[in-house]
Amino acid sequence: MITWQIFLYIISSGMYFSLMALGFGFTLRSVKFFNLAYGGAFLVGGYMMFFFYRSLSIFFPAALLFSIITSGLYLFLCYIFIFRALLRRKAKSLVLLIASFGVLVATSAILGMIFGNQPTFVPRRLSDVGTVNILGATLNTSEFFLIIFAFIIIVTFSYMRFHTRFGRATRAIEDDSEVAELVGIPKDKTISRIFFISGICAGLGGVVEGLNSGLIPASGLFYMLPTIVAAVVGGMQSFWGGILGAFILVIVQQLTIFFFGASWVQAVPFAILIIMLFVRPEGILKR
Amino acid sequence: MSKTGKIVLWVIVLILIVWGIVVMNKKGPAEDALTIKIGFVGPLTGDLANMGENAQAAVGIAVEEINKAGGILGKQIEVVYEDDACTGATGANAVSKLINTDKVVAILGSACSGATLGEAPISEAAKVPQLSFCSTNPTISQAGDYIFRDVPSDLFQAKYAAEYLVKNNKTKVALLTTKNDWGDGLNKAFTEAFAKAGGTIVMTSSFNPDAKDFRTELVKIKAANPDAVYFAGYTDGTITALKQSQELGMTAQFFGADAWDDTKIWSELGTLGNGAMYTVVGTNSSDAFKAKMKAKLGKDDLVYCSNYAYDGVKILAEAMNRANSSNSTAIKDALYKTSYTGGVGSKELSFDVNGDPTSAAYIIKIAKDGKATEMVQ
Amino acid sequence: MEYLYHILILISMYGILALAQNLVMGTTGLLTIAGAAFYGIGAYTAAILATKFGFNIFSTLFIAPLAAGLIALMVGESFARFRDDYFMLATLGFLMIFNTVARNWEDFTGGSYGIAGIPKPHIFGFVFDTPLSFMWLSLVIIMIVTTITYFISRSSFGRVLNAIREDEDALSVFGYKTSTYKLLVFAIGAALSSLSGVLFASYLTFIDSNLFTVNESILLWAMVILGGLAKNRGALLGALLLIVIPEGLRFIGFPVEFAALLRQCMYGLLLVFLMLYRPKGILGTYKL
Repeated sequence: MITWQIFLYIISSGMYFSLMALGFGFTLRSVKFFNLAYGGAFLVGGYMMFFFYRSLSIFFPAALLFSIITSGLYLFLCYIFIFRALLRRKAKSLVLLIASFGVLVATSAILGMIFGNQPTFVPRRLSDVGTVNILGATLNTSEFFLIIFAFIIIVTFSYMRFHTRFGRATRAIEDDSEVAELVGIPKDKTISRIFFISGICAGLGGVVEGLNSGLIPASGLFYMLPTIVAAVVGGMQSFWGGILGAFILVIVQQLTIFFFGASWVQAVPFAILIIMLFVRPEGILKR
Repeated sequence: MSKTGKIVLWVIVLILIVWGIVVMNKKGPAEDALTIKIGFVGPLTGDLANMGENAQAAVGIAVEEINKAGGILGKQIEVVYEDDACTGATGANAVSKLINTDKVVAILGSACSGATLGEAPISEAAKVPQLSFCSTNPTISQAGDYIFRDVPSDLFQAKYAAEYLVKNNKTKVALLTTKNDWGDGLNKAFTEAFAKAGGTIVMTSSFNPDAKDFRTELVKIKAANPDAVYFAGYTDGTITALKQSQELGMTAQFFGADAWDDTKIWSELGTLGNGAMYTVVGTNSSDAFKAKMKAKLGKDDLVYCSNYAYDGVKILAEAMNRANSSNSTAIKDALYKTSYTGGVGSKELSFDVNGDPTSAAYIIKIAKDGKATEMVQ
Repeated sequence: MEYLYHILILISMYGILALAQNLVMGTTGLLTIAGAAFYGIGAYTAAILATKFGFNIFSTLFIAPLAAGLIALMVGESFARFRDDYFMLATLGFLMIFNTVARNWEDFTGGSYGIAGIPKPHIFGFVFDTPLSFMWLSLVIIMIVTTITYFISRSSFGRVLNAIREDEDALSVFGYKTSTYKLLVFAIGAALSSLSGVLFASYLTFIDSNLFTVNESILLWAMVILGGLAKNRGALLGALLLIVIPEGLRFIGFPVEFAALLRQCMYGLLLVFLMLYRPKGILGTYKL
């Protein structure tokens, strides 16, 4: 019984981090830097959901749509105004990292000033979020739907990647962006879209978190760390790597909590990271 | 050095010089002859910001009342508010500033035990009396000659909870406590008291203060099948954990401690919190005080600590009058002679040799439909 | 006046950290996020030795660098073959693990309680317990650290470090064992950072694991980058600015909650602007 319940948790957390790592991986692979502003998009998505759904009392699906579009726009604008200029200058990935960190910090602070430092919960009443019984174990409805949606998103993205022109363009840019440009691929347009899509993923993650545990400004950075680990461990260059990394991370985390207690759980992602760096720095999956 | 670099450097130096002059002039003579300064330190940001702001309002009310009645020793009281974000480090910094820069004669604070424990050595070394209005960790009793509190130590709170649970046939309990001074203190105290009362602890688990996901631990606890879960958590963790426990369909009695008296917890949880109970020091709150709080905050929100914060101001004022001086050491000596009655926190209060209140009266509150109310036993 | 001493003490502490960070990251080009960890190791060493074993803080000023240096050698040795991004990730991992261990190993580090009541240093009967005297102590230490880093930068050792930053592969072709140099500078940086940790522990009288987090390390990055990489003066300037300006904000009288967030916001925007418009930093010649 417990095992089945824990198994369900692993699935739901795994899908959650898969989604996060997937979106993060898009920018990591195409523009080759750790975009910490992803954490900012995460926060924007979640807080906007609170704003649309709770403050403005908009119908849930519509609020969801508005929120993730906003978070997508957020990353898109970050690209247009900040990262594009840096990329054009061929700035080092460290510069981009620092700039993205600055964006994350500023975003967290601004959202904190608007919404306050205490946890912000998205559901209008927490009891609204019902539970779903699956063969004796339970998940709450947001976790349940997340599994379904994340699965759909993963399928959609993989289709997009391998069967559309846009997907081909992204793969070309990941491979060699200069050659891609030479061959006529609209680099700027493609990358803009990549950032937008990345923002959608992050925003969705933020909404889920807002439904489950509430958001605080510090959540942005907090969730970036395991996301980075999942992406790196699974394989930075691989589309499926993020998903693999996410599940490895979640499984080890749950086992740690189960056997050692929750207080050591923070170190887990990083222990895995360090082990991976020794054994296989590129991550598990090559491409 | 490049030209731009040089210019920037000179501009910065200039700004620093001007700023330095302004700062120097601001500080001026140490004693402002017209007011008596008291410091307030509390969690104005962070997980317990709601409690901190609430206490701040209560202190404001107390000060207004005293000043309107003529102040103390002929002078008006001025409170300098500082934030400690519920951490010892920020608190230590804040208290340093209060003592060294603002030259306060006494400090009211803090709420979080961890913060108070970080701040106490500084106040003690500077010989400035510090009165905590909400910190319950047992070790504060030994924090120093200048350290007082008007709420009792957790040794009593845990004991009260343990005895209540045993009395109500909840003899198998699982512990779930947050990993900080307050949570660890309760964990230890409860474990001892519960064993003494004849109960058994089926499992114990502690979690990081910023943990967001309690599901796995709750599953473990559910499997151990306890009658009750003694859960020492702050606002954020409590909301999440209670919600997740309901999702899991747990039927064990959830029992908490004083930090659960944050109204935000129950208003967020709504019906999900139904049936949860917690101990909290009783208050002697009056409708008049509640009305004043409502007027000041613009909403109906009275966290129990705020009663003690209000009393704290009055106790300090009384001590100063008794000592007929605003000298910190004199205040400290006078505090030990306190015999305060008619407060909104406690009906009567005096301090023992450790600076702790001599009596403790707890009540149990139970949550229902978004509100926690006192349970008649 | 005492507020001024307080500021100078803070500037000294962070100045030491910035100088150390600059030595490792700016001069040598090792992207380390572990700065806060060695800072923490210094602080905990001092705190534990002083509170549990009655050591004089003054003596811990000599012991802490040894401890930090040793740990740095072990960590650095394991991470030596990582380059750039991977090295950074590894040091991030080290910091997070250090943080978790500090938070959980209660018997040793006080865990979530932290360690309180850390005494002030004393020498020949004189106790540094006034802000003024502590300030002098801090200034003396930062001057020593500045001298050390200055000499390192100017020495042939320093030249090799700069060369490693520019083109490590070329250097190894010339027969230099670059990994040894990197290891050495990493350890030196750790030792210097730990000095600041000792001062911090003694000044604040209270430490806990929340003080040594990723945010602290990133603050150090910001100081070094703002001031200008590979220039000791830059590190000091960066420390000065990033301490003074937020403190100055305190006086503008925003409500407390806002002030902290506003500081954070400005700090984030500062990083963005620096990267966009002046990656050299103020005094730097080396562009990031």
